[in-house]
Amino acid sequence: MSVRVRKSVLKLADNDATLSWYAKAVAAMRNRPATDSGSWSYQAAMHGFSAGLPAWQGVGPIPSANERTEYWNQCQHGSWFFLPWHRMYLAYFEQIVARTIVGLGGPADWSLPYWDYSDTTLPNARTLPAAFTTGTPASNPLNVAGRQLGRPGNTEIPRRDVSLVALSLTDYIADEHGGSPGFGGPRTGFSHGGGQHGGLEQLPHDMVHVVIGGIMGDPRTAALDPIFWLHHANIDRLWQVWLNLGGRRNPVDTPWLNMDFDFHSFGGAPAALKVQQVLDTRLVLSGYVYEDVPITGGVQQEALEAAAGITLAAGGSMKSVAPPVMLGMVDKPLALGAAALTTSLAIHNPPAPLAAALSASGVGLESVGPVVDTYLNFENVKGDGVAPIYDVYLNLPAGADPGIHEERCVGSLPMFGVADASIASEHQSGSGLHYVLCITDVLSVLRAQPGWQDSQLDVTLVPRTAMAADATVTVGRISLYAKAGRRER
Amino acid sequence: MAYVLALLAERRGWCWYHPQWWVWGAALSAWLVLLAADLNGQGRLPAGLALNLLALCRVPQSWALDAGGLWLPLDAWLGGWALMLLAMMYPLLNDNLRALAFASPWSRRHRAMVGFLAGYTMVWLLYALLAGALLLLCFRMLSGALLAALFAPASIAMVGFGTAVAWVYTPMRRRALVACHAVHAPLGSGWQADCACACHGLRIGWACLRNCWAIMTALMLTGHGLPAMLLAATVLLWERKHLRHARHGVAACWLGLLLWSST
Repeated sequence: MSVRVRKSVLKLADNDATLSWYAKAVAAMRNRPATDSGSWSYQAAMHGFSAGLPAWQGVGPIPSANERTEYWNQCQHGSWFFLPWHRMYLAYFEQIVARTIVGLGGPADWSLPYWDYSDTTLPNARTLPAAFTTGTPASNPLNVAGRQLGRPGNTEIPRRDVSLVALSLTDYIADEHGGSPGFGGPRTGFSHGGGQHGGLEQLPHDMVHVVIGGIMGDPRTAALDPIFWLHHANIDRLWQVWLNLGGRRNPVDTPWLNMDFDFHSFGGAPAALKVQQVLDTRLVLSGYVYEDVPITGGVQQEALEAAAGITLAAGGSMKSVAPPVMLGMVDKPLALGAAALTTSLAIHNPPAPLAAALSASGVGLESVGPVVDTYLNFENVKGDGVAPIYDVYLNLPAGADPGIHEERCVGSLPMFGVADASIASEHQSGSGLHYVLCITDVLSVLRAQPGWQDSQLDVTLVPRTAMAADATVTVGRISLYAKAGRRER
Repeated sequence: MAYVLALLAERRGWCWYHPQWWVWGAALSAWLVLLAADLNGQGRLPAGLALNLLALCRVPQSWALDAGGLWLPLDAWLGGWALMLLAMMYPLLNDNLRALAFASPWSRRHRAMVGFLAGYTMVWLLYALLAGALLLLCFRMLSGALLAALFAPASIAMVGFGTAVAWVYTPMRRRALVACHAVHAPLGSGWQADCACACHGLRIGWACLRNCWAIMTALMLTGHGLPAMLLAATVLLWERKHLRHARHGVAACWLGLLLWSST
């Protein structure tokens, strides 16, 4: 069989049957019992499952505890396995859907489309594709109840929530605690959730999940929504786009390459893949490529920047000259609520190693200059219920409308999976989430403004939407880190 | 001279990235002490250290030595446990310690790790005290014949490693294994931060105890040798590092130890 070509859902021709066959396959898979690995419920539960959630009510008989331990609640988040695990997951899902479509009398070359919501050249790129909203959940298998996106006042994903700024990160692996989240996330073992999310995982992945909302807003139910798979196909595509930019490469660490994960192929046979087996998409199961994304050779960086509305950093990895060091912290946990909250963070002088590192380093390095990046960390973020997204602003004037101070916004805390990450279980340590926002650029602007104080930074967290009555969010600690490095050619 | 300075600078840089280096040093020292004791005739430590720490990790044998008195030398008992803890458990804390060090202000990195280890060690030593008390109770209450039957090497191996194998398959252990990876960003400074680090150590210690109590107790009860300790430590380290629910592999290793101890 020839390699599948995953196409943009936004560019499908009017007479293209990709989505109509997808809808038929979804309906067929929903009719299978949850004990069948080819069923919709089973596939979704491999990502996340919690019997107590309303979306899982009425799921019917479920597999044995042993099978659930082996195959359910396996999604990798807050980990350098986030990208490869989801690539494997999508590949087996695509295989099952494609075979189901063949069984229904459809074409043999069906492939999973992707949703490129970051494409600024296409109108309506940030609204849910029409096929997923038409009709009702009863009449259209692609439509599910409870999504927030598409409601009045929330018709499209805000542009900053689909930013591709993560492509600027040149290193795949996160720094040590407090520093860059890396493009692909921190080194971990098997990591079902919690912890520090990587750059791409945080934005746009997490943001798109929570902005769509409903079952998509919780990792334990997200894969029950048919749009989940198109969203993740896009995240998978962005991994290849990132590699194509040049100066970026996947980890070569043995623990990453040799890690394997368990799945089921069509028909229910147990299967497993190692990370090293999915680095070339043409070799994953029957193989696939993304339309307009070459597997070899670069991409037109200018075209990508224009389409995504970003400026990408120069290639070449950062050569660290010292680990990230803490410059200050907010000394108490913060309970976030329905109102904006401002707290002050005392900044201390950088310790001697950081100050000395730059001058002592660089010997033998073909460097293009020192870089000091500054990061704001939100650690041990825990909560319950459906928490709102919090936008983070620096030195926001008292009483000012955050909306007119976008230049002071350093990012958002999506809270994707915060409830799950807050409860100790077989899959989570209960430590909550950890977000890292790079604030280097905003700080450099603020420093040039009157009233800047070297010793203090005000951090304001603004909830984007109303907070549900039963929701709670606590930030265990806010801390400021700096890291010195040199960019290698 | 320049080369030496550059080398020292490089080493210093390495230590910046691996502030937990001295914990590995302590663990290595513990292994060397155990090895020396093992090589120095029947597991006895060199003269001057009157107590046979290695043998005291082996309850039946040590008890046989003290059968007349039926008492437990507390300092040696806890010393033996501490040595096992240093050698086998401290390496498992590599990621916890490193994360805590980087989550602390630069000047507090090592102090934070010491506080953490104090809390962690306290949990295990309390368990050792409890286990010792239970054993004392057994020896004082049970008859000689029953004791001999219960503490026969084959019975102990069967019960000890059998329990360890069964424990691997429980949800409680899976929960404990995941909890061993909990992270905590300590707040405050001075004693407040010390307490936060010690409390974090207590929490991780409790998770680690729930995870490893069965195999550690089995090793202690069966009069294990260094190879068994080394194998168990390697398996636990591998499991901790990869954090897979690879129950079957771990259970197979404990089963191997069972067979080994029974023969």
